[in-house]
Amino acid sequence: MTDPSRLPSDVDLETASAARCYDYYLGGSHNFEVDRELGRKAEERVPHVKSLAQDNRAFLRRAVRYCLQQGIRQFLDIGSGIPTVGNVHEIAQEVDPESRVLYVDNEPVAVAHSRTILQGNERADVVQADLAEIDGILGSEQAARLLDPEEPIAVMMVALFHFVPDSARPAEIIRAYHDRMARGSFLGFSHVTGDDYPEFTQSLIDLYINSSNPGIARSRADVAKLLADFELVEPGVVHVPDWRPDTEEDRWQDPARSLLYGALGHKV
Amino acid sequence: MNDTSSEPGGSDPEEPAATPERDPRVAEFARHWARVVIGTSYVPMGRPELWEFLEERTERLLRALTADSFHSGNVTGVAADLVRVHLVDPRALRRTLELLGSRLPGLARELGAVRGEAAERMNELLASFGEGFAAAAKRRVLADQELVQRAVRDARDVAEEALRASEARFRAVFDTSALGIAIVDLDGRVQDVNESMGTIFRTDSSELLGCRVLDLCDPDHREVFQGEQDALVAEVYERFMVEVPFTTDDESLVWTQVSGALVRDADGEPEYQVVLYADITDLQLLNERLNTQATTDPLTGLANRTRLHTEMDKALSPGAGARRVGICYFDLDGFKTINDSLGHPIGDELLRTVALRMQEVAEQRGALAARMGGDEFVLLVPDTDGPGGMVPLVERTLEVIREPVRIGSHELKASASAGVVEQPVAGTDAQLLLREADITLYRAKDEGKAQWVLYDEERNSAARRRFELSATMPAALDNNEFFVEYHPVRSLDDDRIVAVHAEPRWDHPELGELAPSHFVELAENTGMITRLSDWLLRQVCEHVRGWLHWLGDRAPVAVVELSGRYFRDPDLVNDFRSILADSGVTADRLRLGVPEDSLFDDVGDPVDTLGIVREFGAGLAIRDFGTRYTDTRRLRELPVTSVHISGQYLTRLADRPESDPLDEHLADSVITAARLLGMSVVAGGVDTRGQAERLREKGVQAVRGHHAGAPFSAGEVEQVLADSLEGAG
Repeated sequence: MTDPSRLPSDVDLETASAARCYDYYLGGSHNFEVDRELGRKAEERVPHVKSLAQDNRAFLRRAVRYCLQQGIRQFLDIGSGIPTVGNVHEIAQEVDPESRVLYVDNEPVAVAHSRTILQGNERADVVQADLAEIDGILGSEQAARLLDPEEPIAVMMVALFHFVPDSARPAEIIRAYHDRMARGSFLGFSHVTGDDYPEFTQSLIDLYINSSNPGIARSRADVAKLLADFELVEPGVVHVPDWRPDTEEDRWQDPARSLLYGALGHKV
Repeated sequence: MNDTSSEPGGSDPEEPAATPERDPRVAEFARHWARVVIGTSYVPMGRPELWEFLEERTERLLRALTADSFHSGNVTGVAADLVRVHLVDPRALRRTLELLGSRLPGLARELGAVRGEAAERMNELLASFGEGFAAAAKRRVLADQELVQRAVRDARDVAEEALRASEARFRAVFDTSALGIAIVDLDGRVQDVNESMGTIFRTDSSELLGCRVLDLCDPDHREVFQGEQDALVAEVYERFMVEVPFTTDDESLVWTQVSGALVRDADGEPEYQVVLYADITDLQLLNERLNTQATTDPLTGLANRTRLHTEMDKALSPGAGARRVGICYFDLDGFKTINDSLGHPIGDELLRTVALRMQEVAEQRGALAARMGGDEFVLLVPDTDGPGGMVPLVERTLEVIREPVRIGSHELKASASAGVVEQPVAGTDAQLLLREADITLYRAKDEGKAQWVLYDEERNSAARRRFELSATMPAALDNNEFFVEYHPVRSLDDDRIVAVHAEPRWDHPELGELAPSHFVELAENTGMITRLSDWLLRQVCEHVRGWLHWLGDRAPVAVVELSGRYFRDPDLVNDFRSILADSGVTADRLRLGVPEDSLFDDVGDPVDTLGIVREFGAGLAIRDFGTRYTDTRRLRELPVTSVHISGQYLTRLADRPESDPLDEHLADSVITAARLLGMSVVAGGVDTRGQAERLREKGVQAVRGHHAGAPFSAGEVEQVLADSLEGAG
C-alpha cells in the first residue's frame, strides 16, 4: 500500500481535507483550522451543511444496522476518513462484539488517525489505499486477518463516489467490488446530487475544487446506474433522510435539501 | 473503540434501567429535550435510543433536584454523559439549560416531588450542569486534538521513514551505478555527481561540480543538447535523451548517451534535473566503423556505390531554381592486362593511386569520387551550370591518371576513358544518370580510349543497343540461345572436306539469328568472350566426340576460332584441359584458330599458352596471317599447321579478269610465306569456282565459303561427308 514516492507530499496540513471537514460538520474536534475555515465557508453557502453531514452519518448508521439485522458480521468501509463519532466498528461491535471491520482511506493522516483510534481493537483495522486498488485492499494482511471472502460482507461507500470523476471509471470500480463480494453481500452507498438544489450543490463543489478532494455531483439515474449490478433494498435510491428513518420525526420536511442520495445494494 | 471522552466520574447509560415503567411525563420531557438538541452535532444513536438515554438523565436530574442534600457530582456526571454521546455543541448546552431551567422544576412539581428552596437548588443544578458540560467538552476537545496531532506525527514519521528509505535507495543507486549520475539545477549547473561521472569523463568527480552540463559536450553538439534541456526545464518534455561527444583534456573522445529527467517539488514545480550518462564510446566507434565500412570502398577508401547513391539522391532532390547535376564515369584502359601480367597486388596498388589522385581533384572541385567496382570510378558533381563546366574537371582527372605511377620496380602508365553526362535535375534519376554515363563511357572506349565523350542522346541510343546486346549475352548463354554451325573446309586438290570450321551463332529472340560479327567483338570488350569461348570449345568437343563415335577415323578435324584475348588468358590452359577431359576428345582432333598478333607477348616471347597447346597436341591455325612480318619467321618454332587468309583483296583477285597488281602481290607474298614455313593455306570467303581456281593456281590448299559448301549442323556431318566423297568421286 505504501508508495514511497507519494508519501512525503501527502502529509499535507496546508490544504483542507474532506475527512476532517466532515468531522467538523459532525461537531468533532479532529480537525485543524484550515478544515474549519473550509467548513465555515461551506456553512456560509449552504447553511444546513452540518445537517447534511449528520444525516449522511445517520444513514451510515442505519445501513450498518440493517446489514447487522440481516446477519452481516464483516464490514469494509472505504473512504472512511476519520472514524470518530458513530463509526462502523462501534455500531457493529455494539450489536455483536465479534463483528469485524476494515477501514480504507488514501489519506495518510486519516489512516494514522484511524490506527490510533483502533489500537487494542482486535477486530478492526485500517489499510491505506485508493478505492481503485481493490487487489491491494483485499490482498492486504489486514484483510486476510479480518475478512472472509466466502462470507457475505457489507461494503460501505458512503459519501465517497462524488470524489470519483467519470475519468476514473466509477462503474468499473463498483463492478470490480461486486464481482469480489460473496452472494448475500451489501453495498452501502451515498452520493451528492444536484438534482433538486443545484445551486447549493454547485457551491459546495466549487468550494471543494481546491481542496485535496474535488467533487462531482450525480443524478439519481447516474447513481442507480452505478448500482445496477445490485438489487436495491427498499426504498431504493432516495434522499438519505427518507432511507428507513428511525422515526417519522427524522424525515425532513423537504428531504431533497439533504443533497444526498442513499441506497443499499444487495448482491443476490 | 477507546472512548475518547471518557470521564472518570461519568455514569454508564447502559446500566439496566432502574425503573421499568417510566412516567409518561418524564418520557414527554425527554422527547422534547431530544428534539431541541438533535442536529446540533452528530449523535451516534437513533432517536428512540436518544429518548431512552435522555429519560434516564431526566430522572437523575429530578433526583438531584429533589434530594435532601445537593451533590454536584451527580449533575456534572449527567452533563458529562451528554458530551460522551457527542452532544458537544454549545447550542446543545444552551438549549438544555433553557429546558431544564424553565421546565424541570415544573416536572418535579407535577411528579409530587417538591421541596423548599427550590429556586436556589435549581440555580445550583444549572451551575453544576454548565460546569460539568464545559469540563467534559474541554477534556474531549483536548483529547481529540491530541489524537489528531498524534495522527499527523505518526503519518509524518511513516512518510519520513519512507523518504529516508527512498533516499537510502537512491543513494545506493547513485553511489554504485556504472552510469554517471549528475544532479543538475535548473540553470544547467552540476550540483552533485557520482564516482562514475569521474570515470566516464576521465577526471576526478569533484572537478565536475559547478560546471555546466553543456560543458560536458563538444561545442558542435551543444545547440541540440541545450534545446533538449530547455524543453525539459520548460516542461515541454518529461525527459530527454541525446548522444553527444566530449573531448577530454587528454584529447580522447568520449561519447555519452545523456538522459535527463525533471524532478518536481511538492507543489509540482520543477526543482532540479537528474541527468544520467552512459559511456557509449565503444558502441559509437563501432557504429562509425560499420557506417564507414558500409559507405566506403575498402580498397581505395573512396565512397562506394551505397554512398554514391545516397549523395546522388541528395544532388537530385529538386531544390530552388533549375538545378543541374554532372556525372563522369571513368574506366581505366587496359587494366585487365596490367592485372594479368603484373598480378593483382600491383593492380590494386594502381587502383589505390588512381583513386587518391581522383579524390584530390574531386575535393578541389567539390565533387564526390566513388569507386563502382573493378576499375570503374564515378565523379559526382552537384549543382553544375552546364556541360562546359564539366570539361576542366574531366580533363584534369584524365591528366592526373595519365601521370606515371611507380609501384615497386614498375613504372606504369595508366590511362582512362570517361563518359560525361550533365543534365538538369528535373526529369532524371540516379539510375538513369549512371546508365547514360556508363553508355557514354562505353562509346568513349569504343571510339578509341584515353579520352572523354560527352553524352549524346542519338549516339548513346545506338551504343545502348550494342550495350544491351552485351548485357543480355550471359542470360542468352544460359538460355541456350547460342548454337554452333559448321562450315566445310574443302581441299582444292581433291574436293574433299578436310576440316570443319566451327562458328558460334546467336538465335536472338528479338533480333533473329546473329552472326559472330555482331557479338564476338562485343564479347571481347565486355569480357564475356571467356565464357563464350569456353562454351564454344565445350560444344565443339561434344560434337567431335559424337562424330568419332559414329564415324571413327572419318570424323573431321574441327577448327575453333579463339579470340586473341581469350587465347592469352592464363585460365585458358586449365579450361582447355578440363574441357578435353570432360569430353574424352584428344586435342589432335582440334585445330585452334588464333590471330597472329596474339602469339607473342609485349616483349616478343611466344605466349605461354602456345607451349601448352603444343603439349596437348592441338594444331594451330593462324588467321590474319601476314600482319606482323617481323615475327613471321618465328612461326616456324610453333605448332602451326595452317594459315587462314581472307579479305577483300582475295575477292577482288578472283572476281576480275584484270586483277590489281597490288592484290596479286599481297596474295602471292602471303601464300609464298606460308609455303616457305611449311604451312597449308586456307582461304576464307571463297564463293565461286572461279575464285577457287585462281587460288588453287596460286598455291592455296583449301577454301571456305559457298564454294566449299553450305554451313551445317553437327548432326548433319555424316551426310555432308558422304556428299563430299560423292562429289569428289
